[in-house]
Amino acid sequence: MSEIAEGRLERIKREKRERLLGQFVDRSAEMALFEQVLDGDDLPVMVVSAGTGMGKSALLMRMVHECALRHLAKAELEWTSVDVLDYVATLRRLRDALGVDPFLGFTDLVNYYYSETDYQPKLEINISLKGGSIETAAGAQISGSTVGDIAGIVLRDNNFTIPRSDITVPDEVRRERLTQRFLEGLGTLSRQDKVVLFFNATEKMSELTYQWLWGQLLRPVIDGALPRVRAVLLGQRAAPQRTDLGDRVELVACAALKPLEVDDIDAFIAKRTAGATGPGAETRRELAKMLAVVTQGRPADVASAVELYLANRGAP
Amino acid sequence: MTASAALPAGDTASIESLRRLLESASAPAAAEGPVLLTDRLVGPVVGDLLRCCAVPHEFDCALLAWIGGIGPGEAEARYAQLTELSMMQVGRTSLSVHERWRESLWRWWLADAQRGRFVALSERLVEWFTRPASPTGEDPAARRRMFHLLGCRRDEGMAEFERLFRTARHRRRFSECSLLLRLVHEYNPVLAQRERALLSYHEGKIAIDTREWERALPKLQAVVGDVQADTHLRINAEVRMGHALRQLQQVDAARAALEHALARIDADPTAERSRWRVFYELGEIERDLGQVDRAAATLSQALARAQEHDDDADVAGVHNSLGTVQLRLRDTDAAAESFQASLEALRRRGDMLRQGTVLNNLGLTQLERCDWAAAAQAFGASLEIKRTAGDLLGQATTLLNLSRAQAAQGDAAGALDSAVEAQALFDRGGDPRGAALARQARERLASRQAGVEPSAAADRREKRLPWWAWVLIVLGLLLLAVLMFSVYLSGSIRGA
Repeated sequence: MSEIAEGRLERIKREKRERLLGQFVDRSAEMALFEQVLDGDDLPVMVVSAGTGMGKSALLMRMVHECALRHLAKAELEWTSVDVLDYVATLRRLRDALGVDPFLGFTDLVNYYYSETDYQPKLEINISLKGGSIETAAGAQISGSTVGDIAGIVLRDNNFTIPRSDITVPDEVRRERLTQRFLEGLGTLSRQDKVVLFFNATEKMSELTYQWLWGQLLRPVIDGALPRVRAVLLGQRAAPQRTDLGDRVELVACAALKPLEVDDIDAFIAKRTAGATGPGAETRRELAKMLAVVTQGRPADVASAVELYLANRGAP
Repeated sequence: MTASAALPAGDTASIESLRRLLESASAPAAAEGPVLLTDRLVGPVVGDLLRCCAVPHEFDCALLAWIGGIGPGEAEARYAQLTELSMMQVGRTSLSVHERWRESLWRWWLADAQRGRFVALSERLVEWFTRPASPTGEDPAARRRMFHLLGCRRDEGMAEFERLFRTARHRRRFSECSLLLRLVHEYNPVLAQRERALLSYHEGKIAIDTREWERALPKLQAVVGDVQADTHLRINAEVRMGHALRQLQQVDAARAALEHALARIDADPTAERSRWRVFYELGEIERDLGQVDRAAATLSQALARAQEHDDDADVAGVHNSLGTVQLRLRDTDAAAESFQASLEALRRRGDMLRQGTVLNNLGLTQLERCDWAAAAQAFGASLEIKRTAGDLLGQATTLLNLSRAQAAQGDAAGALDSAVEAQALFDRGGDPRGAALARQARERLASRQAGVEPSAAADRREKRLPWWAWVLIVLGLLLLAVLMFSVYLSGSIRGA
């Protein structure tokens, strides 16, 4: 495809996102809760749960836009049906979205664990978070190390996904150390700016990744060790319970998306048809009432139904 | 429900028409519902293309041209048109049909009426995703190829699934294993029962790999109870069930499952190569119950059969387990041989991690033999592996053992250092019992090194009776003797 064509398609995608933002209706309670998460200290993590087609992605778009308006550092990850997003891939993508510089220690260690056999760590960093210091890359030969001074170093991630076979590090140790290294970088970054992490389609995460997310990556966020980091999880999974998190569940804001009501659907149709020759107010109201019943207020079905209506107006 | 009579007739008709369309398309018996909706949305030509887009999970402009059999210019125009639809999710570099719509479209594609077209489309997608393997190890094209191969050549697709699954599992990429299972499950409406049983078995296997014993059990039980599943699969599921039950301390249930597996093997000679697995699990149960003689016999049988029947058998594991039993039986020569054989097998496989455990066991055997130097060497080698692995509690255990070897060799200072480090690691690792043992060892060694009698000996002396108590006891016994003699004498005189 030519560059001109690619540029045109990118523009169309961008315009669609902007249009969808403009058509956003309801979810004011959820946005208010999100603002509480951003502005306060009591609820560092938010979970939005709902079935398919209930508008989670649309809400995510709105939240990301809010972060952009506030100039907050942010990262969005979405699990899909074809990509493996295990903990390593998750950390790599978060790093790439937030900016690589604070995460050099993580990149160094991930290269050490996932590389050809001759990679040696370039940095020696002792991680110090709550719970004491942890030695990393124990047993490695560190050459040319610059303890505590990592400015000016460029480290490229080789993006390998197969652990090297010549070093004997069990999965759980590797996972813990890489996560700790990443959290160190996140701590550095969040000292300057508040950071917001978005995780969408959590129902497509593997169980192992889901447990790691709550048990290791988000633990210091909830516990207050990273006071300027926020996280939002969206998906079909139920919100965590006290049996999962203990008392920490009080620090998680939960929102379950409800179906749209007639007024919301009416407002959506008005926004959707703004500028075009849309139905009159009465027709719009009747249409909204009908759609509220037939679609049961499911936003995805409402949007498609309105499209169908506009495409077939006047047709038998 | 009908639209208000106050509205213009045309508007009423449109609303009513839409209502009928939505209700008929979503009715359970509406097999052509997805066709109806997509054709009414974008017309029959683009509607057909739109339905094709639901087969791959996501598509870019190039793939759209491929599956539609259209040129790049038309593909670009259609891609732009599809992007506008609310049912399309816009990704970074691709579009995907929203799951809400894809579910019904996918069910429609799996129906018999679409079989011919679906197979042809799947073949084109297999061709599209046939590419060289990625050097990084992350290969989404291979997964997508497998997915579409299931759609046109089921057996090949299942074989490809097993290959990718085995590779991912070997690399311990369990998230990839989960993803592969989820992809195959999309074909559930058309999978044969034996294929579904295979998926359940693999789900159980992964749960065991991640030590989720309770999650594994129902998956494996479903396979065991499925009479349509392959016999070998049922046997393997039963063995893994035995393993999970053992881990959950449900020993009787574990034993029952394994004996049931043995009965199945007895009834099917083609399953003979699985017998060693059953004996291996049974041997470990017997060992844990303290039935060491039986365990030795069972594990020996497991070893013999593993070496005879199965090139992929975990011979290293069996050797190690047999060695631990032989050690309990104080047959140190046999134990040392077993551990050495285990190490050889692990080195051949390049499995360094488990060598740390086996070296520690070898060190314990050398301690039993009073070969302190050999024990220290084995513990040292074990420690090096465990340090690299970051295994805190493993290091602590080995250090405590090393301390014994060092003390026996007269290296009191070295032994004390090892005990101190062991205690610190046990504390860090959250093992209070280990920390207490290390502390006792440390105190004992510290006392010896300082030339002060060990506190335990001092404690024993403190518990001894003082000298005057012994004097009183002796005097008391003498008095008793005198009294008894007096009684005897007075009895004799009276008699006389």
